[in-house]
Amino acid sequence: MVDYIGIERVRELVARVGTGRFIEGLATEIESDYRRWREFEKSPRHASHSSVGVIELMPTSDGRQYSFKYVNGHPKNTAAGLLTVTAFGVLADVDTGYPLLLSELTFSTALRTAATSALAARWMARPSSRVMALIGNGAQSEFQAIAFHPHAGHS
Amino acid sequence: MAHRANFRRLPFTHMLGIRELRLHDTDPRATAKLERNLAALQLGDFASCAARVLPRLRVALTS
Repeated sequence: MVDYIGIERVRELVARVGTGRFIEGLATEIESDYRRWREFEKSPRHASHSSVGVIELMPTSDGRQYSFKYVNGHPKNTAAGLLTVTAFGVLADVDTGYPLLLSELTFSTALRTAATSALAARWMARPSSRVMALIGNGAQSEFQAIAFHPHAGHS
Repeated sequence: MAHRANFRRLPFTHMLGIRELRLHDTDPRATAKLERNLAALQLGDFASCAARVLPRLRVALTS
């Protein structure tokens, strides 16, 4: 049986842990993956463009597990009250080829994007930085603000 | 608590000390919505900073 993590479960988990703390935890995981960069099989994302958007597949493997994300980008969706980006992903065991997990990745992508930004800033921003500009105040910007809040991870 | 133990301690040598947000969007309604959402999160000074700084940024970016 393949495990499934739906949007409700992710929301529940994030609510329990706290958004700031959750993003900080993600940043830690992302950093540890960057530290073993060479272990990952990397390929360009497979992008299928249309006149109104793009659908992309993003596969990778570290030799033990295989994963891909399906994600779209449709800027016009907002006007129709739909999400610009939706995503899901699969995690599989390389040894048996069995899928282990099917997960929503719409909400998770927003959290991961914020976590990656915070991680990059911690390594690259001047330590004395006190002001952050958010150019573009759409759905992602709230996550970005939370990730950079001084009490993120401590609430 | 168990679920909190899942995350390891951060190895960062320094934490960012962002104290102020400057918000801009070509659609002012998006900025207003972000401000409302941040205020609802009760992030303390952070959100009020955003509100206070906002008009200045708008001027800076459009002039």
